[in-house]
Amino acid sequence: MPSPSHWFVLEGRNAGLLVQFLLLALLSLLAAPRQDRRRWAGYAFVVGGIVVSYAANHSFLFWIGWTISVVPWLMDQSIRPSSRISLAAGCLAVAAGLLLIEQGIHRDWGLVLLMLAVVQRKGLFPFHGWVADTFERTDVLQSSLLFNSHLGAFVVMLTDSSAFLGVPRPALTLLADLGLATAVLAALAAVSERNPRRQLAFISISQASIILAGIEGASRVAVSGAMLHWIVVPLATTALAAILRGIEVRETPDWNTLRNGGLAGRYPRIAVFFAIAALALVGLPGTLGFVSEDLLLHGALQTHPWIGLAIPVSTALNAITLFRLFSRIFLGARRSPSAVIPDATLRERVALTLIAALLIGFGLFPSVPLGLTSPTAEIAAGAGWK
Amino acid sequence: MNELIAAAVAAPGAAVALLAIAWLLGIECRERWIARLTGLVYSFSAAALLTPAVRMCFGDAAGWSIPLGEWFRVGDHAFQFALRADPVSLPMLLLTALLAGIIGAFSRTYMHREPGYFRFFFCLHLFAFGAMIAFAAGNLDLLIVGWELVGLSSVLLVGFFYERSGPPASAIRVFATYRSADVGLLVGVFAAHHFRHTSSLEGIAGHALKPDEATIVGLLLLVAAMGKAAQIPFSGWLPRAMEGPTPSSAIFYGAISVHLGAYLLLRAYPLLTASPAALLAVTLIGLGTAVHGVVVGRAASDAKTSLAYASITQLGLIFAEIGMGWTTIALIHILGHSVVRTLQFLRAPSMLHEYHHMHAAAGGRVDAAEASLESILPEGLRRRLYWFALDRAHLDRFLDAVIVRPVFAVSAWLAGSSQNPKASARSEAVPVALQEGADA
Repeated sequence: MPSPSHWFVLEGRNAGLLVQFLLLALLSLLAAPRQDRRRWAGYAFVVGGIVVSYAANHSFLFWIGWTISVVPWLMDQSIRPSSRISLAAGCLAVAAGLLLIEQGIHRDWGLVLLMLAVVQRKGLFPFHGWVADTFERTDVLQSSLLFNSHLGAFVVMLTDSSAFLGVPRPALTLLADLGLATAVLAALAAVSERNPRRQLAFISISQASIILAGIEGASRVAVSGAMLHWIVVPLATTALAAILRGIEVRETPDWNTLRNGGLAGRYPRIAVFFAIAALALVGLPGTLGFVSEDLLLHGALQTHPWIGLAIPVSTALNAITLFRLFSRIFLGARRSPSAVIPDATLRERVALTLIAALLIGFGLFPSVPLGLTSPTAEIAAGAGWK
Repeated sequence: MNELIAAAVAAPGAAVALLAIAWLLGIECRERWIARLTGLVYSFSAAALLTPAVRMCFGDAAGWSIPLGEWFRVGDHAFQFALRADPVSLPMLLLTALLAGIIGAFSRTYMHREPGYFRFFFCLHLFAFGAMIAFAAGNLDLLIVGWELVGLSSVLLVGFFYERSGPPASAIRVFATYRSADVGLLVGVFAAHHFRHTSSLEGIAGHALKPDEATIVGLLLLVAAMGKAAQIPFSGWLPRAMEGPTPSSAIFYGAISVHLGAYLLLRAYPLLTASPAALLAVTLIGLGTAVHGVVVGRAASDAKTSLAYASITQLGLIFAEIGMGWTTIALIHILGHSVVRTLQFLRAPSMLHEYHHMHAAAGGRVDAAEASLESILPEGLRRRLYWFALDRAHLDRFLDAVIVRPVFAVSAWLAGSSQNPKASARSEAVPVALQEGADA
């Protein structure tokens, strides 16, 4: 254990991701409805835990952060026991894995446990259940924030240049392939879901799983694509989660029976923000999603030829699901604007406009985010197994 | 000349940007302003494209390759923003500018006082921008950009009258068909990258690919072209797309959008020549679609659906022409068909109106006096054929059976396996929205 002054480190590998996560947390808080903002303790646990993990310079601190970030869900009785067990098992797997690796005894078993923790945290199949459950039954924005921290992907990104990890490439290749399979399977699972929160959870899992293949891909192009995707998925899914929550607060719809909600007439701005976030998530040209998918495909095609099939198929399925969701909520018999309920509150407008501006602005001028993420991408692409 | 062509392609994009900024700033755009902007944009584009077209006609130039630099670069991978104006792309660019201008002028009165006036013109400009990028693209990566924009604007206009129940359901069906077929384009382009490390049209032309590789890429591109051009078995979306406003039906489904598939095959023709199997598939799909369009179109009960199936028939013939190597005839066919079909779509509402007037003036004695070719067939066969045509050749049922229902079954199983015992009750065992689309 280093001295307290060296407990945390801010350098190329984590600085950009840390700033990005803090911006995401700020946007989530800004877009959250008033009654959800009262649950500040939950946000404090998530943000605090993730920041500690990102900045940790020692495996013990990394584990502490990982565990703190899931405390609100471990204590929450509204989610199913299986989800709580899954989250707790992830924490234990990280602890045991890091301990075995650091002590140098049964190192292979340590790696297996660590990879299992990554699979759990990333919600890869078959450990995806907790993501859908927390999205459905607890604060969707907080759940989205926890998932979008992508701590699992961060572990994969830490190579043997790191102070406490050294993961051999075959294990990561297996993980990346599992990520590609999950991208398609989660997109398939979302198709028949009726609950929009669960649909959003599956779509988030699907789009985020591709990041692993990019990080593991043996080229700078693939890693850069993964870094951009790491920006797109959190921003777009946070916007979608905020919009779903905003509509729940305004209309208290019965999601399971809602069809042709016709809310575009009442909330035209929110409908446009939903469309922009959804289109960016599935890679519409002119948004950052297009650039990230282009780089991921070109960069990882040689090492993971299946990515050439997984990304088009999963994004096509996700696009169809999102369009059906848009249709269910916003299209249909026009509802007149309400004098009492605003289209989008000022806080929502600021948060969603910022997200839309980032997704489109970075999409039109991708050299800006590429420049911002290049320190992280260079380290990830240049270190360890590359 | 390069700058002129690039400006002509960019002009509709500038209109999209202007309208988007106005919306963001809350500026209420008057109908007159939007109409003037539309007139200005397409007058400029058409005039700018006319000069190179005239030069090409007189043999002054064989074409222009216009490198506009890199959109982005990482390591050795760069997204090249390169346009090309040649005897294949330039006529299509000019046609797009002219027809978009004509549709804009027509819609000025047709869409007058329509609540979605602004939305309609925004989508029209977005469509024209996408179509111009797709036609002028110097590589397949850029073609994807235009292709996706055309698809998006198309779906937005199918669901234009979103307050009714039919258009959103049809829009979902159209969108699902487009996205499914587009997988062919994306995988095809990345297969080309995988085989030859390039997506430039020259890089994959001729015998740059081995015959097996050319067959794989060619068939994947054919799937994308079939989706966009409503070839069998994807033809069911085109009649449903008629839910949108008539002017958009004219330019999308009579003229530009549906021909994008044929254009892709024309562009990929040098690649297709390396694969006899792919060329045969193009021909057979085209001929099959032509017959399908004729038979099903005979049972269509409204003007726009009849026109849709007439378009499908012509598109099938164009595919067959490309498959048989008659590419010049195919290009002329595309241009001629676009103009005639646009006129028919735009004329259809007023023609029906006049017919009803005439019918009323004649005391209901105006009969359809056409001779029916089917009358020579035996009664039993005629009935079977009618049932076959009425159900649109059972193609939608076929797609539902082989794609939609299995996907939903697997999906319901996967959703049910997410540690949620009640999930199956909350997931859709039958594709409600897509089914609505099928029933529309």
